Amino acid sequence: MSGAWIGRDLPPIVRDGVDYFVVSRDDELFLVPNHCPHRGGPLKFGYLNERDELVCPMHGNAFPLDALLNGPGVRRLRELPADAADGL
Amino acid sequence: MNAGPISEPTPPAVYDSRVDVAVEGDAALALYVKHQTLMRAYQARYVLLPSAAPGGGLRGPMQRHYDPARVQALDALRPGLEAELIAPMLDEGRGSDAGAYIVAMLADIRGGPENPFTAWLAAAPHRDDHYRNFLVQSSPDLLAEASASALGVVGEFGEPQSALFRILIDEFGYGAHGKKHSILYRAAMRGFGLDDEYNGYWPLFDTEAVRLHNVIHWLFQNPGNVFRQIGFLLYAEAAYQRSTHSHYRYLTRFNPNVDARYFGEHAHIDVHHSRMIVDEVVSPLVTRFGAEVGAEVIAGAELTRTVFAKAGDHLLGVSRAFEAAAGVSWGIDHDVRDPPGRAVTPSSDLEPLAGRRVQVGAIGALNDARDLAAFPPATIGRVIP
Repeated sequence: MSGAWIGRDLPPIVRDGVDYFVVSRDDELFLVPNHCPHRGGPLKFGYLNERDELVCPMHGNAFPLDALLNGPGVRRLRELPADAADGL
Repeated sequence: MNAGPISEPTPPAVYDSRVDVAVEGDAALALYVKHQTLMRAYQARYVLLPSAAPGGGLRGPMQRHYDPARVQALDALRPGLEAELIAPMLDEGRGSDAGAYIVAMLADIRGGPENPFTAWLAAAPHRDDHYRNFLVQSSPDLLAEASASALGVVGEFGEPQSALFRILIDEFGYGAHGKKHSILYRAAMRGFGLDDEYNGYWPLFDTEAVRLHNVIHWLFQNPGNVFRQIGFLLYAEAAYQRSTHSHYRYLTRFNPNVDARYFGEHAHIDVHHSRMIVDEVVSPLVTRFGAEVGAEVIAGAELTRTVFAKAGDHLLGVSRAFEAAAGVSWGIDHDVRDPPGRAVTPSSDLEPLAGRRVQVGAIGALNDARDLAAFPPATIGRVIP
């Protein structure tokens, strides 16, 4: 299992009308749409299992983190100088 | 018929709580009337609104329906009716090993035969009329689907409560009105030209249909039944995924223009619900409270198996009897509620009704009431005025 974690306790993150949550993996941060591909459940409140899958809290569907982070709509967060952050 | 003052117009279907009058010596009719009364007691607990404003306004019939004195009078009848009609069906001696029970139950359901009703329908010439009856007989509970089980989520009882709530979210379509299971069911009814108003076909409900409704409501309107409620969900979620799949395939084949989403949705989502009930509700509760909980879960599941089987056998029996009857007309050709017509059963004294037409569910009418004698005992016929 990787050292990944989910930012389930972070405040809501909304960009362009899409609700995101933060996933950290291998010291990288991602914004992932908070919307289960199965039935739209709030993935943010799921958990990472021992197979490195994110398990949706609604119906228990498990999604490999690799596939999820390379899926559509995911944004990779880059570290920028503080004065450039406004343009992110 | 206890219809209230004669000057009162027929109430909107959702507030139509009339019950039939039992006749001395007709035990089958008396049983039906008792179940009907119990159904009215349960229905009085739900918020119901007609789909359109009644001609004389909403406020009057609504206030009459929810009049506290009336609701309390019905409530006062409940314990006696439940003790007589439902409690004797409960068998608490079916073991307490929930794990072993679940394994055997799932194998039994998955290895069982094709749904006998849809299998029979495939070769029935008047299959749409029989299917219409299936939809009507299933409507007492399904037109307010999950309202009963919603009562089982109220309270505070740990993690299993949250799993039950997630199931309830699915039943209510995630708050999207068009996805709500009762709305999907309405679409299937409309696809067969049926009225989709809650309680709209109450005079056509057979005793088995009302019994099934009442067992579900007895379970969920009594909080002390919580583990039996879970037993109901355990069996129902597993059995329903199989039966709804059969119905979905049937409709896709024979009625491709009918909205079958209700059945497709259940065939899919109940796979998840079945697992959730086993892993997130039954197992943790048995671990926490021990075998006595397992015994109650099993009793609830077995009660559900029994009433599902009775309702299914009865439905098919009525259809077969109707196909075998000599003189019939198919479908519904009159207003079934206004007036509903006298209720009769196969064991009623039918001789005085020779030559009178009798409506049997939503299937059609017998040209001679005496032919009803050949039907299953829980059949209700309505003498067409």
